[in-house]
Amino acid sequence: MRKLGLYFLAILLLVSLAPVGNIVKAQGTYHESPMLTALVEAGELPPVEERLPANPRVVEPFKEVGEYGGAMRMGFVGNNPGWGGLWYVTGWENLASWAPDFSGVVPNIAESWEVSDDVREYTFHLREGMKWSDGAPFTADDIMFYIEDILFNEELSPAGPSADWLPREGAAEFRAEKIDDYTVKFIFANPYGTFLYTLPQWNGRHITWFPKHYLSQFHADYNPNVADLVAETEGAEDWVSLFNIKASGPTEDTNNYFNNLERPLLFPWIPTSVLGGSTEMNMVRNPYYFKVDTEGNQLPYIDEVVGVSYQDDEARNLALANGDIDYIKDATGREFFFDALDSGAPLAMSFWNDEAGNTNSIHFNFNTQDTVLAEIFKDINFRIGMSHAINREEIIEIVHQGQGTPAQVAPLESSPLYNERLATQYIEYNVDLANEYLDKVAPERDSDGYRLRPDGERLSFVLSVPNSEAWQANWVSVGELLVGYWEAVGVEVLLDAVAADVMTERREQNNYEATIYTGEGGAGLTPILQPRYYVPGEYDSLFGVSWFYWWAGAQDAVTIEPPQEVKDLRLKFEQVGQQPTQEAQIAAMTEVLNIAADNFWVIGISRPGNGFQPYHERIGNFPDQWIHGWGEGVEKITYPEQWYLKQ
Amino acid sequence: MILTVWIITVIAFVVIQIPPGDYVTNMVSEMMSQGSDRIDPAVTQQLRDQYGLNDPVYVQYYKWMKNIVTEGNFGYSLTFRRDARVLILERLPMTFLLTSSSVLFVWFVSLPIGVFSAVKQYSIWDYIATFIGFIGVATPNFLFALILMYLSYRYGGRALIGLFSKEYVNAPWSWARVADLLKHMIIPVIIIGTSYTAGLIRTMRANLLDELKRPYVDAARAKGLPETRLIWKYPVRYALNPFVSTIGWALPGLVAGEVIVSIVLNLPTSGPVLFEALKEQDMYVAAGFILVLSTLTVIGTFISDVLLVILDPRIRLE
Amino acid sequence: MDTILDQPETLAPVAKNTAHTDTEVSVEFASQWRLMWWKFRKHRLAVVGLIVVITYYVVALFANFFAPQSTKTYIAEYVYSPPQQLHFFQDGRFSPYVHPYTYERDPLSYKKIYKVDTETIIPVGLFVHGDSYEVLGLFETDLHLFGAKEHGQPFYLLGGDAIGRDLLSRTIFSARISLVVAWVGVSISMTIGIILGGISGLLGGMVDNIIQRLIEITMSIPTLPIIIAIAALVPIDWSTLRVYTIIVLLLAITGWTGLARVVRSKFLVLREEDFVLAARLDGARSRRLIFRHMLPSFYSHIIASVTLALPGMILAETALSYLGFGLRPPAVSWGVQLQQAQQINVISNYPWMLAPAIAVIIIVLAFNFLGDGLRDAADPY
Repeated sequence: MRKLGLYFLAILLLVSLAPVGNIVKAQGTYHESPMLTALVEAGELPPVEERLPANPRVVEPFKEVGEYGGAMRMGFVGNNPGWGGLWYVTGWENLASWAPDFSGVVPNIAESWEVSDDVREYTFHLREGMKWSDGAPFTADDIMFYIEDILFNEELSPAGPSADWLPREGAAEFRAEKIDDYTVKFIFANPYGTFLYTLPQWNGRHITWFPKHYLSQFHADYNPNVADLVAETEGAEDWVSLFNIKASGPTEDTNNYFNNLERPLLFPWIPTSVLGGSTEMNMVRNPYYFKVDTEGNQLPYIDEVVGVSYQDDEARNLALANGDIDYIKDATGREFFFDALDSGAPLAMSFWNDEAGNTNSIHFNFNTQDTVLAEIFKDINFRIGMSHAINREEIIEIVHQGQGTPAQVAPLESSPLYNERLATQYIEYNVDLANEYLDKVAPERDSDGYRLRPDGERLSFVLSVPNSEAWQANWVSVGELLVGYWEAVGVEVLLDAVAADVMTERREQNNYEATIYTGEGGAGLTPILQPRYYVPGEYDSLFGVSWFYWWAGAQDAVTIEPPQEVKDLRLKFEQVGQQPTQEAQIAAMTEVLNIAADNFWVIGISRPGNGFQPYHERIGNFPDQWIHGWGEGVEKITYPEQWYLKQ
Repeated sequence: MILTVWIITVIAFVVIQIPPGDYVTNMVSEMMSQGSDRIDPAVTQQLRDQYGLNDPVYVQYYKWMKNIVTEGNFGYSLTFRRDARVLILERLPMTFLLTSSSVLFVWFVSLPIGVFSAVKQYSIWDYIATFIGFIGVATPNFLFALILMYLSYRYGGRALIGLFSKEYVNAPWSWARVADLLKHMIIPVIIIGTSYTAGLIRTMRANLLDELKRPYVDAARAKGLPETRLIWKYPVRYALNPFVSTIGWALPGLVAGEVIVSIVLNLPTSGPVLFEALKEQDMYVAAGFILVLSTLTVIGTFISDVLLVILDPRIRLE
Repeated sequence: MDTILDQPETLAPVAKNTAHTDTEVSVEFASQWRLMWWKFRKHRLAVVGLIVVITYYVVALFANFFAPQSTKTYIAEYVYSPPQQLHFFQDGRFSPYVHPYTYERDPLSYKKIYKVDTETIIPVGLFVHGDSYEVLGLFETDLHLFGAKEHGQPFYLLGGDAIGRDLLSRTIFSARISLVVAWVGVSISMTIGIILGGISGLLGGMVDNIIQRLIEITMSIPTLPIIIAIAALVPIDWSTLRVYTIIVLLLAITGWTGLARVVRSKFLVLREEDFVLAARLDGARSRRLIFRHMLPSFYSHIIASVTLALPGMILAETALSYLGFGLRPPAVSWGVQLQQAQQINVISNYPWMLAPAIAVIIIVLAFNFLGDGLRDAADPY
């Protein structure tokens, strides 16, 4: 696994901004699934050459050219197929995508692009002849429809133009121009050097999300009789909500497209039934999908996808071991799956490297309602002392099965942003040193040996640990160990394990004292893309979540204006995105990370060990090793369209 | 009865709204936790308008009730983006099948064991029968289900998950599908059923023992009535009274037990949907389910009252 | 009365004879309690149940003494360690001991493979010194009924849990919360049930109608939404135990209806009985009528219901934990322990984590049998 880590050393340093390596196939040499051939022969579909763009995206199969056919069964927990895992496998097509080894941004829906020297203007060339899943052409008009009629529509975007990919600063001055049917130019108010990294990510999804030919009927500017449609649509109050329901955006949850079967998509598979009260939903291949393999076979290889809903992780785990389903996202129970593999279950195993810089981040809420406590939390000596009190080796042994090394939350060694001070400061387990630092904050103790706060009360706080999701399973164990370590240095900690949604409420109400969360932002340039633990003002910057709500201008949550130095740091971070070159971005981010090291916002535990991914052995072309993280697209970086089912 | 159902819906509607936040809060927090870190305040406001969540509770309730009464429209599921009625109707038949099978199972098991252990009080058979009847209630349901599911995987070759094998989930009805269903129903019916047998065995046994002590039994025995006939003719009949009362409460009880078993075994019944709807504050689905289930309960109670009168003429119907 | 029941010959003759002799000697002078005891002990399972229940409560009360370790003591090397085998004889002498473990880690699954280190011996004894604790808040001691003779040596008779704590000790401590809370809940729901059911059955008419509707409404409202609402509402600084007490109260407030219905239907029947009619003609007042004449005639039923409700509460605690709305760590209860065992991974690899379930099954059975015996004994005549 170390080897893989070194491999990623190179990543993103070599990001190529120019499109390369697309092999243009001569017309007439494309192949298609037998399922579609039958439809073509029946006259229900145009031939494959007419369905594909003139220059389809060529995907090199990970292992071998696959076979067509089959129905892949994918298990998910809950009643939202998208979030349960299908979005990552059957959706997520943006203008650009990550190279499979995460070494850079490569063209996807866009065929190529040009960037101006001041990184304010981006010109995208779309694929000529590319089509939506209903056969209608996908052109620059669709993107312009999004920009002009959605983003800049006062009713659909009541807060002014706002999108995940659009910097808040100067959003209103953003412009897009249609050069021709297949060329669009984005002009930003300020330099925006990290825009391309946004494109393959979740944040870039909206740009190619809105089919104009289908959605204009729900838009008041295009359809004067839209009121009739509102009246006949369940759940729609006005044209804005009607539009959101039909489009699954801009403000509606994207993954609601699984509930709208008539909506055209650009994805490899499209839903043909909704989940509703059933336990299964179906998807079928998109006959107009714009990718081919190196031999000209139109992708995806797999004809159908069946989403199987489970109420509980355990039934889903068993179903996978049973062979009832082919793939699940976020499998739990490593020992069980390796046992199953050994005892002949129809499984194969893949390993992934975690993108994260740490297994956990420990946050003390600087804005907590108890002001005396807040002052203590803000004192860096307190956090240094608390960090030295943690026996990280022991946590690694007990909770992380002996995998990983002690570290603070910081970019990985393989990242160009690696910052040794940030990663290694205060990680030594040393009770005396811990006491020395804590004595600077609260030297007095009561008769039970607990430290006293300046106001004479016992130094005691509640550590809220969300523990209802599968990926939070071992957080309580970490919490229980932390309580013991901190008691040993005279700080009383009350562990409070809560359901994740209760924790969400508490974030909004600023009603928590300390908490544990994840450690994203480790690999490559992801610290810039996921700066939550280095820069305050992100949703998961839980050491000051009320600052985030202040920046976001939230109405439903407690907002607290950050102090000037925090605002300055935020500004400094925003400048990282404006740097034109990667070197400049790295240099600017390094400065930000140095400030993060000075401030020591959060305490970390350890670097994550490797992850495992069991899947049905009949799935072909699944990588043996890959990099796993939200910013990387989770499963999408494995290019599920080139998975195939061995017959 | 209608009054009762009405009060229940009011209480249910209010209780569902008690937790802070609403569906939009849930949705926004999910979107944000997935990385979409930009939700403008105006947007959440707009979403609330869209779903009618900005109205006061009584207005929301009035709209909901009015639509049910006038159009049979149960409202709109925010999670599933469809008519809540469709959702409820899709899940109810399997729920009804599962719970009624469980009730039958409970009766078949507990009636004979109850009579037997009363008549053979303190015999080794009494102990054995009671022990068997009680072991089910003593095991936590979710664990029982999980372990049986695991054992069926480990030793039966396949884990019995859900109510249908994958070939039959969306297949049209056929004998093979029915057989598949029956096979899958065994484990859930046993788990749900056994958690109620103990209660009924005890009730039956206790009542029968009470009855057997009555003078008329002695009198009958003195007259030389055969023992079997003696027991079954009157004492068992009277002892059945509280048994009959169980019809009414069996339903909500079984539905509650069904929630957990269905979650573990992944059964397509109403329990998991209701549970999720409550957690996600998908109001109309939750309130709709509660309305339907409480209506059934009230009807069940009524039936049990009527049966009580038929079985025991000593009770007058007021 | 016994005559109508087929007394089996299989009963142990000694016990039977004694009972019989006692009865013959003093039956006319025996107090009601003595009669009840005679009757009760005929139910063998009930006697066993009583012993088990008493044992559980004693162990729970003095959990610190009975548990070899505290709930927090852990050894990092004993995460998910299997139960140690207890050896009694060493070189032919009675000198109990256990062996420690060494382990290797599977490079792929990371599962620890434990090996018994037969070279090393950890002597085990009674009344050993271990983790110190306070007895009833009075004085501090470190005496434990049994454990490793040397404090800090690994002693895991039921194996270790996810962070290397002794499963046996934690299971013992769990009994505290689980047993006490059950009592609180049941006593509340029983009181409400008997009072309302009694009034309803006795008075009839308008009052009966209102109470009947109340019962219907309460029964028909699922408790789940209420619990979820409460779980989201409680303030952050409340201890989980306090939250749970609230939930138990809610279960109690919604759980009284079953008994109320039963009591009512009994009253409906009894109302027509001769002795009640006689009492009423005598001019007995309602309250007297209920408590002196009618209630005693179905004590048995109430006792049966109480004993059935108690294990119900214990099980409800574990079920709530499963759904994620029960107690949460660091509280130590059977539900919390089982929540950690409810994964296929744990069941297949570390089945000893299910030990708390055995404890639950035994106590629930014991309560049930005890209830049966009490029910029979309540009517000794």
